[in-house]
Amino acid sequence: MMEMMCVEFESKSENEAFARVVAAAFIARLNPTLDEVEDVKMAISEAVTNAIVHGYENDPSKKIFMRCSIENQTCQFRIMDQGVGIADIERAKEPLYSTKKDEERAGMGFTFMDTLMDDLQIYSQLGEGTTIIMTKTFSRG
Amino acid sequence: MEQNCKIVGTKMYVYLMGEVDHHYVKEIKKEIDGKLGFYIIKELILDFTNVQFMDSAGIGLIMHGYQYMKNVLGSITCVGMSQRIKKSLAAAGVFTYISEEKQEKYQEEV
Repeated sequence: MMEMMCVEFESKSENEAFARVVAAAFIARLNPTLDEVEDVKMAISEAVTNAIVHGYENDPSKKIFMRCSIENQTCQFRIMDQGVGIADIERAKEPLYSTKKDEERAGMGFTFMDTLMDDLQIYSQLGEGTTIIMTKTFSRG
Repeated sequence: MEQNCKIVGTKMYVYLMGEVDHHYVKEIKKEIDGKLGFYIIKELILDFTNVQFMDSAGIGLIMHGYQYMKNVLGSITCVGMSQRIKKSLAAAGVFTYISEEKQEKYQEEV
C-alpha cells in the first residue's frame, strides 16, 4: 500500500527548515535510524535551497511543491519548482561547481543529494522549472 | 540580534547555533562581515559545538571565512564539530585548507 503526502510552500529561506522537518516527520513511520533521518533532512534542505536560490532566484512570491510517498520501506521525495530551470544538468551535478560562485556557495548540493540518497533524478526544462526525485530505502521495519 | 561573535585581541570567535542552513548563514554572514570590516582580525575561530544540523550552506560559510582570512594573511579554525559535520566537510574537501583544533586547547584560551 502506498502512503503519500504533499505540501506547497513559499520560496522563502525560512521554509528550508520547515520542509526538512516535515519530511523527517513523514518518514518517522518507517522507524528510521538517526543517521537516516539526518541524511533525509540534509538532502531535502539542499534541494529546497536550490529551488529558492537558483530556481526562483530568491523571489519569495513563488511556490515550491514537495511530495513524499512511501511504498514498503522505500520513500520517494519529489521537490518541484516552476523556476528558471537548469541549463546543464551534468555540469550542475559536478562537485564544487556553482553558477553563483561570487556568493561563496559550496557547489555541493547535488553531490550531497546523490550520496545521501539511494537514487537521484533531475528533470529540468529552461524557463519551465525543475523536479528533483530522490529515493531512499530504510533499513528497519 | 543575539551576539554570536566575540573578539579577543586579533582573534574572533564565532559561536554557531542550532541549524546552520542557507537561511541561518545569510544572517550570520552579515554579522561576521560587519565585524571583519571593523576590527583587525588575524584568526577566525568557528565554533560548531551547538550546531544540530548543517548542510552545504555551512560549508559555503567556512569557504567565505577562508577566502577572507587568506586575503589578510590570517588563519581560520573550526572547533567542536560532530562526526556528522566532519564527514560532510571531508566530502567537500574542506580539510585540505582548514585547520581543525582540539576543543580542549581552545577552551583553555577562552
